[in-house]
Amino acid sequence: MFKKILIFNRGEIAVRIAKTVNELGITSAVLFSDADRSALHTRYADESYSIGGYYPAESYLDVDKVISTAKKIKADAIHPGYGFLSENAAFIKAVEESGIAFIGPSSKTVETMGKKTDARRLMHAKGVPIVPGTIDPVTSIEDASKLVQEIGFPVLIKASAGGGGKGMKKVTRMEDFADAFESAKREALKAFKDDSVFIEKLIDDPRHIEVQVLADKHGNYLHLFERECSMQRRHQKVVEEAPSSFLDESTRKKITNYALLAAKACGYYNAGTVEFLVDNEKNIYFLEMNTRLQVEHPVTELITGTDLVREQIFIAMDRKLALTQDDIKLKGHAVECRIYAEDPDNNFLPTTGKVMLHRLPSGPGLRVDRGIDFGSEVGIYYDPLLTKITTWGIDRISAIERMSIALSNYLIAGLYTNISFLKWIINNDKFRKGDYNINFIDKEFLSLPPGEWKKQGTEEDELFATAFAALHRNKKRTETSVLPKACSENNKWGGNND
Amino acid sequence: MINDYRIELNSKEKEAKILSQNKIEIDGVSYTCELIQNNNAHYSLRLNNKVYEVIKVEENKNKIVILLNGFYFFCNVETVLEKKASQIVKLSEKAKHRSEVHSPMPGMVLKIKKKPGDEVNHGESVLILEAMKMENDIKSPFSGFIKDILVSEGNPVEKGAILFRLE
Repeated sequence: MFKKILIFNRGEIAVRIAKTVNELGITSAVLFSDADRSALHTRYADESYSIGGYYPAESYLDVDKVISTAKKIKADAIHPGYGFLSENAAFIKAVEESGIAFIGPSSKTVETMGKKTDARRLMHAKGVPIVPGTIDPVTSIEDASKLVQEIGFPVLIKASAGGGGKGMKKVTRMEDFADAFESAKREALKAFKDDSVFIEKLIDDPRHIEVQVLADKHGNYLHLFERECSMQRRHQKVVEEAPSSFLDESTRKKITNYALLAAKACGYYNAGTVEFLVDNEKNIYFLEMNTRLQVEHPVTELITGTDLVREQIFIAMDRKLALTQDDIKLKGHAVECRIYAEDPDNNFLPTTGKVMLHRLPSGPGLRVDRGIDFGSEVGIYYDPLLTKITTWGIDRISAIERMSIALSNYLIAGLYTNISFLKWIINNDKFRKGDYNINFIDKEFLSLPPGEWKKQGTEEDELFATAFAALHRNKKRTETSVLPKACSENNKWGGNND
Repeated sequence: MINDYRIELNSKEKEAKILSQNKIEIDGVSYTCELIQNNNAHYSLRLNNKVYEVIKVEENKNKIVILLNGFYFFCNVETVLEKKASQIVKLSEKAKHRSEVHSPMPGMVLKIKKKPGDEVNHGESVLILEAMKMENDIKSPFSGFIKDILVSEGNPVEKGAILFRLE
């Protein structure tokens, strides 16, 4: 049994991991940057240690600092969370060599699956279908131009080392190809220190469906069904659900089998996610494997009654999986909404501020994973994900109704968030029918006239907003003016409240 | 009337008259009202028999952002007199501001594709701004000519800074 686990992350995921670590009676330790001195994760962990710096490169991306701290505090294991160094093979190799257990797959697996072109080659060889396109990375514009003429437009240019939409460009015609190719290479170089890219045929209106897998170090593999993650803006997910209402039983069987095949092909152990595109004819294409815990893992936990972090820790302790495939039963439906500090009217770019008030929704079938609290500074240094709300219902529509109410009950002041935008999605007819793909937000939201989506509140909502705006302004004016107050508000409380 | 307000609510026009301490008239209908402030940001608002929780998200003079029932409302609250005054100011400023393109976020100017005097079409990319490791095309809001570019490649810009002007 591990005695102490160092959680090398921040925000909601560090808090979430600390909770399971604490439940298992293991000491949880976290690191914090200068920008995170009073961040929530430092309060939930048993121990917290400064690593200094404001920018990620000086803190949460510093391999030497984390390993030396882990040794110093005598941590048995490191949990990387998601993002930062979680899928960095060199980091994982350094952890392996330090004698500290890594809660995740081997560096070798991560290296193979991290190079998108290597992963595509491997999947292709093992019979997992891949998106048509290049197998080998391309670097010269001449080679690339020749290739796209063979594949045919539209195409996607992607970073070989990529993920998260960085270094990814969609091109519909030859005239734009050279510019996009160079831009993708620049982004890739900056984000991943590797400017090699590859080219895929663009699948029309696909769904993004991924399968959660678990594997131990003894060759046991199982899947925990799929997650529907097609609701994306800027190539990043905002609403996820499980199961996918698009899959029938036979497609579900196929996609989960492919996921297990993929996991076995790369000698995977620990928790991982195999991402696929599924087209309108329910053809399945391997996209990539995420060799870590996913942001959206709560939907899987809610429909299967599992704790993936607990399984991750046990696997890292070399235990055999206690669960078998037959133990994993799909029950009900779960939906997750990601609350971001971002402005839907400004291309979903981050907003900043200090949280002046924060009240979370609560109630049956509702889970909240949060990384912020009253007083938190939401700055420019890190990802603007604030909180994840996940609702469970006996069927899809119950989970959705719960989500709509939960979003209404989420109160936050001091910065602007995407809550209204999430409500717009949750209440959208097409979403409610399950009729959406990865182009939904581009087609249904970005095409609206400016401000149109903000008119979604009911007349009653508008009435109360109007009344509040007038009463608030009036109060301010009477407070600062020399006019006698018609009736002092303090009188209600006995008049000596001030 | 001194307690007669005009409210722009997510670009809809509303009228509110405060009749007394606990009476308000909105778009011609009157309600009994009670506004209770629980702390700097959290309020309970009762209209007749219904109570809403209202969050004051941000406030700047006449402008206030509120969150209510999961919806953000961007309100501009003015008395009838203020409204008349601001309309006059707006008209004179309109022409001036229309042609400025501001930075939507803090970032770094990666590449400038146009130079002063160049003709640009509506939606055409003028420069690339890098933020959060992503490249963002800054496009021309209408067709015209580049009057001047106020930023240079490789330099950081603040949110709201003027990037370029059109004519």
